[in-house]
Amino acid sequence: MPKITYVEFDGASHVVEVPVGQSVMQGAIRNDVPGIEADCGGACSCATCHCYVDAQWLPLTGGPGEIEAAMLDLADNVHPDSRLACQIKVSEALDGLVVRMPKSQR
Amino acid sequence: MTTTDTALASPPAIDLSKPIQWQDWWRNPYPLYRVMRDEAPVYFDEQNGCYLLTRYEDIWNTLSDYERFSNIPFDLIGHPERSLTPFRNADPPRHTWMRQIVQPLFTPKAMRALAPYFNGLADELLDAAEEGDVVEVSSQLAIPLPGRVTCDLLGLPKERHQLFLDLTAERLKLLHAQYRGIGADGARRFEEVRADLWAILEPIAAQRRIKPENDAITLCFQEQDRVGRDQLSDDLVVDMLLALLTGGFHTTQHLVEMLLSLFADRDDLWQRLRADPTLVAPAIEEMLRWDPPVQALPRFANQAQEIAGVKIPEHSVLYMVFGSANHDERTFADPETFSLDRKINRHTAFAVGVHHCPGAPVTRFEVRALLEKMLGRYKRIERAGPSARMKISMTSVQAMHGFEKVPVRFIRA
Ligand code: HEM
Ligand code: FES
Repeated sequence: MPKITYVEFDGASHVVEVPVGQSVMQGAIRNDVPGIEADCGGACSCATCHCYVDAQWLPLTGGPGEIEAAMLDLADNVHPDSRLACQIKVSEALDGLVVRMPKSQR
Repeated sequence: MTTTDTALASPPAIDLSKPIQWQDWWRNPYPLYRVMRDEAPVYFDEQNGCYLLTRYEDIWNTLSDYERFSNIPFDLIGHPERSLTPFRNADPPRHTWMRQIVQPLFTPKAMRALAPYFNGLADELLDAAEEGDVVEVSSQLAIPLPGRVTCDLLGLPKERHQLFLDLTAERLKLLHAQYRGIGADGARRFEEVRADLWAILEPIAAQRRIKPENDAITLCFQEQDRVGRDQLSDDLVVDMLLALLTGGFHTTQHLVEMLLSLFADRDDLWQRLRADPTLVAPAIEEMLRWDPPVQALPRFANQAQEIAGVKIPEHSVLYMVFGSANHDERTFADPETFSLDRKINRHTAFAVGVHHCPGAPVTRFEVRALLEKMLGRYKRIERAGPSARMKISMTSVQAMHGFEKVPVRFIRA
């Protein structure tokens, strides 16, 4: 199973195995990783699953889709490597992915 | 409910093979919920003809699945215009469209920009409340705070607030009565109230068309200009604005009442907040988890399904019991304890999924500002009389939790 590393704003890191097909958000929620809230449950309508994708992985995850970009527009501290974790589907190619979380989602 | 009684030492005997006596549980339903989670997590409530989901995971999954669990009551299918609560009674894509219209007003980012406003309002309300000896939290703080905030977010001028709130409350009452049949007089009054509300809104809409402001009235009418009145009628705009007002009013009121009532009982909590004001945000989340103002809301199954081994027929009504999800020991350690130390607190007080409360950031920021101002002013909150639980005649799981009266004294630092 692909391993995903979630890094909290203070550096605390959590490595969890996430089944292929689940989202990076689901991986965090199902394994009690702090730092991702996911208020809308993955519907791309809350921006409380905001994360930063480590530079080396960006080519593999790609950038945000249209609706996701509109949602990110309304969020805080958005950078070029910002994504919504619920919109990143885990695949074998993402084994080893590192995402960092902002200090607060709300 | 006081601090200790969510975990009643010996709860009344609960036999789920007999009909639930809802009126016994309106103060503290948590012992009942626990038995339901353990013995019948998908419980069929025969008296009300609906299923009650009580486990966190089932509720989370159901709320995240809007395609199978709709928000449109069966009698409204095909007639969205008949709904008077347009956000609640819609599914995507119509729902997404309506939410996107007002979304920019309701983000944490937008709220942070309003910090000076929230702080000023908290000071103003506290100055006024302090003039007397005893402060009645409900009428002096908990009701005026969300009343002012929601009216301001809508974009109503201050001198119109009270009239607008009164008309909205009357409309809500007529709306509830409608389910029992309001008769010709009621129906006429309903239309009069709508006309009165429109008479307030129309001139403001005209002003905003010339000079847009950062408010919901501006956003709605800009959208109307964009898509046309056919798609976004004047009536729908009124209903959307009123949904924002009513959604944010009693909910936030009860949250404030329950927080201050708790702090009056638990000085230890107040002292911890005073020592570390960064605990204010976790305290608000924990109150929302521990005793959520909105205890349960329905979803409508549009096809036959199975949840946790229970077959649910097509056209079933399922209640998501948020109060129970928030006390599910499968998700929350030591759920009966009010704790300021939960690092993860993904409670369901604002629901989950596409209908997740758009006002959540508003509530969080307005209540945070109030509590932070209070921490700076008061070393203690003392009870000046018992808190009066809101009386509700409970016939089902759907209920609001909160108080009618919370008399306290603020002791200056
Ligand atoms: C303690 C405060 C609050 C609580 C506990 C609360 C609770 C909720 C819940 C549980 C829902 C979900 C409804 C569903 O899933 O069917 C909801 C939706 C909603 N809330 Fe709140 N709310 C609060 C504050 C506010 C505020 C301040 C506003 C407005 C300024 C607001 C406006 C709304 C609206 C318009 C909806 C409908 C959203 C939709 O269906 O898409 N609420 N609220
Ligand atoms: S979970 Fe809401 S946008 Fe990702």
